[in-house]
Amino acid sequence: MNISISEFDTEAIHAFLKGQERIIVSAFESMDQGISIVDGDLNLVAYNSRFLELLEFPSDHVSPGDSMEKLLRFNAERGDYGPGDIDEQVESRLALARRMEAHRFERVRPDGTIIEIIGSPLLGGGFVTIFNDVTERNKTSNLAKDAVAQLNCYRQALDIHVGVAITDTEGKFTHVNDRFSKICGYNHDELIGKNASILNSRHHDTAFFETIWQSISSGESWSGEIKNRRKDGSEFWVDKTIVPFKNENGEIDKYVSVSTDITERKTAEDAIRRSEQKFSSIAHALPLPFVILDIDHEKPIFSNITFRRIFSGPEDGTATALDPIFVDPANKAAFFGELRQAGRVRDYETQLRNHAGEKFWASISADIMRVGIEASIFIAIQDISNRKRSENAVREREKRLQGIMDAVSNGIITVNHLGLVETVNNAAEALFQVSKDEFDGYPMQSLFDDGDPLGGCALEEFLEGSDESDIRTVEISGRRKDGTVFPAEVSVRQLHLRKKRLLLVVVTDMTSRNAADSEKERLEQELRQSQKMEALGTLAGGVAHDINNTLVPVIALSELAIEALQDNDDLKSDLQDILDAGTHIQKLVEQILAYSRRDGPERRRLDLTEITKETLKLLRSTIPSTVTIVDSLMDEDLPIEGDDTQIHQALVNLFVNAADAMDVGTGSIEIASRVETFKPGELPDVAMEANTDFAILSVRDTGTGINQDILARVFDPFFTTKEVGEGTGLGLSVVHGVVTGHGGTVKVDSVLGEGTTFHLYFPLLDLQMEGTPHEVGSE
Amino acid sequence: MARFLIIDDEKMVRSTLRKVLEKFNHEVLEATNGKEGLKVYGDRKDIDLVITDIIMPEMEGVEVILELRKRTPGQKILAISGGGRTKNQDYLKTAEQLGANATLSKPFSVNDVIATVRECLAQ
Repeated sequence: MNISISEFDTEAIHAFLKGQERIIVSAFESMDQGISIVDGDLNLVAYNSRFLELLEFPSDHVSPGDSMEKLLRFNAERGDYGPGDIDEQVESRLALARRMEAHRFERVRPDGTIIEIIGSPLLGGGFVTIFNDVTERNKTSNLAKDAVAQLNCYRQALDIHVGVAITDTEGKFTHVNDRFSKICGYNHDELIGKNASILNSRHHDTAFFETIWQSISSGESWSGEIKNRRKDGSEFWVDKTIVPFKNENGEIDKYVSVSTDITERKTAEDAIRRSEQKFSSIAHALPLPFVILDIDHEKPIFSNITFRRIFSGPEDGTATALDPIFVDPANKAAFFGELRQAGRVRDYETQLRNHAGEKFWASISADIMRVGIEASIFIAIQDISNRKRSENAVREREKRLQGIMDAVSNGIITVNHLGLVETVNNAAEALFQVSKDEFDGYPMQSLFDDGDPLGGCALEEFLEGSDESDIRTVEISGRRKDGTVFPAEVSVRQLHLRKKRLLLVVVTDMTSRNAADSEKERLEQELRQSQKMEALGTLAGGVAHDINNTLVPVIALSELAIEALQDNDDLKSDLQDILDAGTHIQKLVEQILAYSRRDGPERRRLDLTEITKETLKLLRSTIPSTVTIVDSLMDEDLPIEGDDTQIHQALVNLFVNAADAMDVGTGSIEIASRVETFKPGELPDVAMEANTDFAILSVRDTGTGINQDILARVFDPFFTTKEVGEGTGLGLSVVHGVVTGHGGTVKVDSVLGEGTTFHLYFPLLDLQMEGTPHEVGSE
Repeated sequence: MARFLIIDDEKMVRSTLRKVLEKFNHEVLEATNGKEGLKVYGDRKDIDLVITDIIMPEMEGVEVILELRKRTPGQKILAISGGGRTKNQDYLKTAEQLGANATLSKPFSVNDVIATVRECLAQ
């Protein structure tokens, strides 16, 4: 309760207030307005809290009995009256109040609120003032003003762009704006008072106008498009809205029409409609199913009859969503992905499903088409089931054929009429080291080495006179990609496909065949050799007996005869020749027997050192004294298993051979021995399971040496460099036969003019394995 | 002077040996095969050395050696051979094992014969 009642000087008020105090107080407080009461001396008597609130007086600053001047000064000081002299502002307001006249004015407070102040004098002096917040009320009245201004703007805009006409209930023009005149080609005066029907183009029937009339005469507005005729007779389209207006009595007294010229749009629409009709009739007539989708949702906006027949069934006339027609949704995603990326897709092959659920192969092409700002997707579908079926059949056949070709170990190449490679098999790839991709268009000439009959123009010559049943074969050199060559057998057959010549070329790599051939040859030679030896053995066995018997008188009787003759007898040298010849035959037979006997040596434990030393003793009497024999043999026993006669024979042969190699019959032969261990594989021609110790006898002569060309052949039977009659050609082959027969091997080093060294490798007996020495059983 | 019995089917071998031995003043008896050789040999104890071939028709030298060893255990025998007739085989080793005092391969030189004969007679 902010109302404070102080003492009242005036009796009447005092008495009034006394009686009505409670009512007034509560009435004051319930008011939405502020209220203040001042006495004749302009001192504040009473006020309510709304008064303090509206004028923003702090409650502790105002109390009953305050002079009006104090309140005015407070206001002036805080700027409520705007800029200016404060005393003057206060004095002018006090002067007004002193007149004690009724007054009403609005005051705008600094915060923008507008306060309406109404003062009324009281009987007996003083007056009561009502303060009212009219800010909102003033704002509303401003809006109405703004709205009128805005409407004027609209009207101006309307007059520029839209034709406005007002007719009376008869249909006669009472008002037209400039725009309306311009649209219809009549000026203002020509229209006023005329019936609107002067614009009738006869395009619409009477029913059309009756409908309009019914509508507007019943008080409803009408909107629609009307085709009218201008003054000059040309026709034009307007988009028209007619609104009926009623007078105070509720009767329609005028019609306001608003018209927009839409002739251009109408013309364009007509063109589009005609075009659409044309398009649609063509589209439906096409046997190719196609559909147009909106770009955003891929929903069909048009599909032709063929499309609907296939995908929607005969009953359904509407376009079908595209999702169910793709058998594999992944394909649909891939298709649209490609379309959106490239803007178009051509011949995308995929499986589709028709309305009956049957799958078929289709080739789909699509374009994103833009018409103005709108884009849509145009999709055309082609049924390629038949093509696909035949393609598959062809592919299968090709696959089978390629499989067969690839299984063949010969290179198979087809060459077209231009001489370029068309197809190849795996073997051809491997053979020429050219990949299938690289082979595509590879010239046939490049397949063969230069100068070969197939290398270029000679092909025609090669094929001359051949027909499709002929296969021409030639052995030439094939050329790999890297230029290396290989021996090849090439068979060519020509075929004619669609009048074009196709060459079927089959290439066989002869490298391995040639290698096999030479291996076969070697084996055959070996076989021949061993057969020869076997025959020789048989022959020797059979003939040796007789030859030896025959030689008995030849040799012995020659000797006797020589003995009997005088030294100067001419016959003596003749007889000596006979004796020499006989001795030669004897040696030949011996060698043949030794050679053919080599496979069956006796096996017993021997000391190689001992045998060698014994042989040396014997050799000293055989070898010419001009040849020095150097003994560099080690003293240790060299236990081996074998046949002493054979070893003896081998050493004799070696020494005789060495002595024969001495150019002038002088020189030296050194024999040395040593022991060496070999790992399996280290000695060629010797099979070993574990490391083996070998005794090596090396016989080195200071002879003429052996030419490298023939070094490899010295062990061949019957190979000799000696004059006919001097050598048997079996000496070194016996050496070789004996040593290999003992599980060893022979190596030979030779330097022309310096001499030759033969190394004889004999496997040593493993004494630890053998345990106590014992005789190994003979055969 | 010694007495020899030569058993060999080859006439030229017999005659050559005869010529060589006679040159050294030895007496020579001949037989053309083992059977005949043993017949000539008979019970005689005056043959100093029997020279026998190994491969012969009628009776082989090997049989001759065995038979002689039976009749006269101390009989000196020299086996000679020109090798096998059909097989490349050395029969002289066999002869040695059967008790031939020495062996000699055909053909041989005069020196071979004289040396071997001397060796045998000296045993």
